[in-house]
Amino acid sequence: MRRLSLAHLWVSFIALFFGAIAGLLQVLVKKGVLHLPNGIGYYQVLTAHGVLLGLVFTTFFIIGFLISGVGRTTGELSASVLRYGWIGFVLMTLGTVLGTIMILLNQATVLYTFYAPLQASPWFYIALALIVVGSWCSGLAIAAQYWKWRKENKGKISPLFSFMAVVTMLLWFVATLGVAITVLFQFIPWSFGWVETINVLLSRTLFWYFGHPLVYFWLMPTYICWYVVIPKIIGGKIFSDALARLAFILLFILSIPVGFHHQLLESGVSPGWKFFQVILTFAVVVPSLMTAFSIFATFEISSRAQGAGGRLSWLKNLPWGDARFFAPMMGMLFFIPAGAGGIINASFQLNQVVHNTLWVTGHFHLSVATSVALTFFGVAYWLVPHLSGRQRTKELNRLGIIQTILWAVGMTFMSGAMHASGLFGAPRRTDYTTYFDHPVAAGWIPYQTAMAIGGALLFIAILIFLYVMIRLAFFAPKGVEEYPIGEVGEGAEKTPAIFENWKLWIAISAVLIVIAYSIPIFEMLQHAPPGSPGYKFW
Amino acid sequence: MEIIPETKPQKKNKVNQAIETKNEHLIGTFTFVLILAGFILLSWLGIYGLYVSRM
Amino acid sequence: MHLYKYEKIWLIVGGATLALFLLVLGIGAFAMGQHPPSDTETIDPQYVRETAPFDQPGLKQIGENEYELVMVAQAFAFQPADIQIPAGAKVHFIVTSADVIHGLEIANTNVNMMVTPGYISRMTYTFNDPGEYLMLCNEYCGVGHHLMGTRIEVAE
Repeated sequence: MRRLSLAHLWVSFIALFFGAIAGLLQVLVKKGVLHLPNGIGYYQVLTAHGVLLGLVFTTFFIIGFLISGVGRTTGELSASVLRYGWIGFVLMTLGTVLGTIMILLNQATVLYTFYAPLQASPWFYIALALIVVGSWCSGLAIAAQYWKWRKENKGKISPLFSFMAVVTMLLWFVATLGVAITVLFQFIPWSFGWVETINVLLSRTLFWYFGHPLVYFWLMPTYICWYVVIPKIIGGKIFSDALARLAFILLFILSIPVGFHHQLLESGVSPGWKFFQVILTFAVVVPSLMTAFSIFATFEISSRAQGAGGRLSWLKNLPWGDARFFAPMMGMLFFIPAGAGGIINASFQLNQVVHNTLWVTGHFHLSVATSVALTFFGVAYWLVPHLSGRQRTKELNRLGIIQTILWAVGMTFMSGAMHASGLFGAPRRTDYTTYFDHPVAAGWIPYQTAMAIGGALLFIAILIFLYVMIRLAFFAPKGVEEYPIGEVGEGAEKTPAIFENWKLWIAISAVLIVIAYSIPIFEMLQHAPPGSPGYKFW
Repeated sequence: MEIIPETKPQKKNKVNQAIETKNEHLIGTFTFVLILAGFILLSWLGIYGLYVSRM
Repeated sequence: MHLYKYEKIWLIVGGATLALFLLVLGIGAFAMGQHPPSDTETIDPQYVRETAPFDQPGLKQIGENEYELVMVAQAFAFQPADIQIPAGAKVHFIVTSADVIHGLEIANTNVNMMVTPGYISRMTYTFNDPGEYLMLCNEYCGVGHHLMGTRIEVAE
């Protein structure tokens, strides 16, 4: 199990390294201080940045983390579980390598959302399919282990970590069905030339059916750390096992039928259906509001139990000097503007102020690239030594603190500048340009400078993180690093068994998806224009 | 000595006490989440205002 | 399942705030016509320049200080480019793409819409303030994406 988990983490960190180089190149190019050498285009670099960080770094880390936690809480992984896990790993890695090669060969400069009718090489889409199918095997591994535990422990509530891990992979499976359908039945036949044209709107809709729950696939493991791991690290107890499970069930049900909020400004979908999915989007904010309360309550109760007082001054009593706490905690704090920005983005007509501007880029650098990433880093600080049979040292812990501070400062500069220049109209996903010396574009230049400074700080932080990882995995003193799993507090009420009634939640999810999508998709197909041929504008 | 099993009201009282103690202990959390709501409200109104000003 | 008093209040406050947002947005969108561009009219994406009105892109006056702006978005330019409009003009944008998805954005205004091949995108905007505006493509469309922009001059 340790090797399986570590293998995932290593691929994740390699992707992080190359994705980070891409990001640094981007901010330097956009500032105008760097010209990419002939043979590498900005948009190729951007495609690599998105795929390596948003897809590979995240997915591999998540699966590695979840497998380790499932093993820790349900006991030794069975032989078949390990087999599924390794098959999943191999398929995903093959897909990653193939996809990266296609991007480097300039055969897939379509960005990580690969919108039609831009048409990449069919091997790029095959690579994506391999990653998705591989992840299904990994999901099967986790589910199978959970099922084994349930059979051997009839009538007992499952360990919280494992329950949450299963919800995460279930969400992933249901969500990836959309992208799998569009890739297998639209993009691959079309890019091979077996069909002439593609229904563009349908492909976008299927992608965003996947694209929104994708962010919850990233958020759920982040929440697992906050709900289950952090309480142990601060010496406290889990606030409420039942509420934590409820939050996850609500996230599962409500995060899928909302993809239209990524399509608010396009033709072909009526405002009524868009607004309906906006309402559902606002509903999925609620389990995160619950989470904010639960997590903070855990901190407060634990601090007070250890003797601290005052309305907010007990905050000082938290283990700020422990990188395992500090990094995720900074992730939590950054989630405040991240979430606020997300609510704005989904606010129907308000989307016209921000769509496709750098504001959106600023938003997701707060959410996935800070809240999720810093939490993952915080987990790595104990998970990597734990799996490698080594111990975190004081020096490495201090480097973790420094890395987190650099991240926070760098991201404030970079994301802050992105939000601001976006409000002034600066577009996202755009190479260095002055738009023919237009005065409006000139107004964006100071923000570009701030982004470059921020990006440089972030890059240094990543180098520090990777250095710490190498030390923790290969050179730190041998020993036992704790795997922190929180316990529920005394006097907490029993968790209702209904949360593990999987058939019920899957049924509710299916019903909501059908309600939210069937009529608009039917209309898309009924009134479809002639499809589009492929274009390769690179 | 005969062990007298806890009666239902006694058990409920214990849980209630635990819950009551906790209510006071959540004032900091409550303050924090209200600040969070305030942030969401202000930032939303800011963009709403920008949208209206550009109409 | 038990919820602490403060948690109950919090969820009510949070839920009410979200509901308030939805109310404001819903009224604006459906009672005051502020909903985002959501046209459902279609066109054959491979015959855009042969299909009216896109066979004659350009600015056309249709009323007192009211105009129709028929545009074709194509990698990597908007047609027409360098547009001149009088201040206070109400402009009806009618746009489609001759190839891939583009985004039509006029910086510092609410004009922002996707231009999807096969569909027509419409939006109406009144240019109250004079000045030199930047119209650009904000949806990646290929290597020349960052060159896809033009001026809109709004004169007194």
